[in-house]
Amino acid sequence: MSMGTGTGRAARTSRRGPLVLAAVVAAAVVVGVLVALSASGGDGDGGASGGTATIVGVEEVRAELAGVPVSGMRLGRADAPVRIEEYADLQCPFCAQAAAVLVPEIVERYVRPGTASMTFRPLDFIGEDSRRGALAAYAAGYQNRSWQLVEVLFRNQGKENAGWLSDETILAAADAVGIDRERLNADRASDRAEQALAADAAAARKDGVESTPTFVVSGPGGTRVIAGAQDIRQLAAAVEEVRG
Amino acid sequence: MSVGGTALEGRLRLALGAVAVAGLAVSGYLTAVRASGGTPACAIATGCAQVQQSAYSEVAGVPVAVLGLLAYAVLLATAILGREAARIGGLFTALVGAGFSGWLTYVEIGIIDAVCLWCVVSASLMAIAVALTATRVWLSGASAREVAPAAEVSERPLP
Repeated sequence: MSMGTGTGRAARTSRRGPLVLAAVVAAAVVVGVLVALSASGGDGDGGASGGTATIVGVEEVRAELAGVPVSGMRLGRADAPVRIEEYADLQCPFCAQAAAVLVPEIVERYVRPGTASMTFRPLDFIGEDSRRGALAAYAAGYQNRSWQLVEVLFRNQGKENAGWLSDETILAAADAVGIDRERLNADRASDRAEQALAADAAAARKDGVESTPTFVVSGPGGTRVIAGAQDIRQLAAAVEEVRG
Repeated sequence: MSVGGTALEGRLRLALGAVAVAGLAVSGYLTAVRASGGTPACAIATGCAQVQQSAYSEVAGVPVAVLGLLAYAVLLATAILGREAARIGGLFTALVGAGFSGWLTYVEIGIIDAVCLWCVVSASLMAIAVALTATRVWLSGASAREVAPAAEVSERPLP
């Protein structure tokens, strides 16, 4: 640096340059930390992310559904006055949250006593793995084990489209809830399951489902649509309103 | 101090303020939507449901919409304040915002396979903020260079 540039400029640039550089470097470091945190976000939640599928939550689900009849995609008695339809994607985190918190509460309060039944309507909007999971749910339904499989899968959820909802996870979960593997594999590849998925997608469009989970609560007193993993109070209020 | 530089600085601050207010509106909306139980009310783009419900919508438990809200609030503050620290701080905030928005946009396209229009709007606002804050820092450096020779001249004995 030459001496002829003037003391003012030299003082300004010598203070400024490093400061701006430091701001840029610090910004890069902060972005790096944020990206690292973001990328590792969902992995800590104990979801199986490929590899050897270790299934958790089986006992919890067994206790949740104990003594409640499952028929096809329906949980609860066929003559229950209130019907709750749950539209959900097996890969959607809010659906897993609903499965962990909301659904056990609904089962306890309304399904086990016979006030309401719940029907699981799988959607596959997140990706190809969602489709795999949805078809497996129908196949499990043909063995009257749909809710057992779905609730266990939700408790083993990983990140979207990260590969956790693999054949391996599905079969391990199926084994854990007493589903016949051979029949499951035949049924989830069948046209019957494909048609069920198409029918539920059409029903979702008809019901104006824009996000998952969406609960459609209907009974003698009308129909209420509740979107999101809402507080139990909202769902309870809807059940009370439509039960007539 | 160069008069032209100050006027341009004023305009840059005004533009930065406008970008920050727009960003506050977008991130405020997304924060509100998220707080209402993850139900996306954005009818314009279908991808919002997937993006807002994805595991990537949080960093260490903090929704990214809230991070956006904070970043735009800081940007607004740096636009209002005229000091050197505000100029450098604004550049820093805009760079962090744009960098992280870039990553999130990659996540949307590459991993979640769904694009949320509001998130794209926010990422664009952050990119504009980088351009504005960088120009502001560069401009104040340039005017400092102009000031220096003038100071030399004033030290000369008058004829």
